[in-house]
Amino acid sequence: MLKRILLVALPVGLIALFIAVMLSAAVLKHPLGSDDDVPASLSRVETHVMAEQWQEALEGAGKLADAFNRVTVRVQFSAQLHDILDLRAAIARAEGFIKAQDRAGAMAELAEATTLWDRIGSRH
Amino acid sequence: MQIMWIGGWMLSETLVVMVRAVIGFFTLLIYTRMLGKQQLSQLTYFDYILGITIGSMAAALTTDLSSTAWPHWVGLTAWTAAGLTMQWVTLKWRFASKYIDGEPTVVIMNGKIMEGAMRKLRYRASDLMEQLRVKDVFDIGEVEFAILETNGTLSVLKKTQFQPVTRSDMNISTQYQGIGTELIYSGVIFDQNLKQVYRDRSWLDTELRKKGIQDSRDVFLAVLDTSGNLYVDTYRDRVESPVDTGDFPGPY
Repeated sequence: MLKRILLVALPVGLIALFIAVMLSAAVLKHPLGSDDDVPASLSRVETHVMAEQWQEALEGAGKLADAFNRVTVRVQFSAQLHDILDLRAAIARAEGFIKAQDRAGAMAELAEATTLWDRIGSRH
Repeated sequence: MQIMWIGGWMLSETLVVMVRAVIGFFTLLIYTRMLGKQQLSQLTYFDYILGITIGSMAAALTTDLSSTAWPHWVGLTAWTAAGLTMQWVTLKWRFASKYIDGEPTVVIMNGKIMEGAMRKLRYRASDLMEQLRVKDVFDIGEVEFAILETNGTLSVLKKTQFQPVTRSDMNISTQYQGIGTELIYSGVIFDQNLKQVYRDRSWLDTELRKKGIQDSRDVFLAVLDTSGNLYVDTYRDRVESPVDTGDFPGPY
């Protein structure tokens, strides 16, 4: 009887595990600490850019990149590779605009980064 | 191995593909077991296409990193569910079974070719001749009935005068012949099978010793047939003049 239950439980358990792995990005993108909070980092950089505090904005962009890299390790199995790479590129471009002290360009890139972040783990 | 180091953190394409391969492989294994044990030769054309489609979705799930694994997996699941539903419907509803899987078609009846039925199936005379040859029939005049089955195979009933003589025709008595039972495989004795044929290990040891085998671990395969004959094959095959079917010395 136990053998029969195992024969059913094993495939059902495996399928459940696969579903969990494939949909895990929606949960795993949430911060586990203060150094991987992507939305908070994004919001801080936007505030600094709007106030034209370029030094703080540049430091914030660096922290944002670090935070996203930490999240990437967790979500790579359930997120689109292109979304991850595009978001990384958007943050890099935002850093460039911040260095050039270009508020409009930096804000555009940060807005794109926000959209890409929302896409990770969502079933649109 | 393509690993991108982003700020000291690892994003590995290879690792992602490997995880997705595990998901695809075991999902496919579970789903194909659910879909049944039909042999490839018993598959209808639709079953065949179903298999190919499900397989290609599993392949895309593994290597198409431009989208997440989820939509591929859902597609795989939906096709399997549709296949299972069709199997259930055709099992429960005879009309649906005939409508979906079709019916066997008689293409030769009482020795006459049914051209109308063949035309409906877009089945050519050359196809008929080919499938007859596969059935070892080289003279169409020998055929009484030929039926094209739903899986595309041809079942042939020869005219009685061309059917082989059987022991029953000759009134020769026959003995029962059933399925042999495996007693040893790869040196491992199957006690369950021994019990099934009312024998034990001491009987098996005696039989092996009679054949000059001291240890059951030297046996690759031992099968007991219903007449009580024990077939034994050992790992060490003493073939005095082996037949080589190759036509190239090698090495391969």
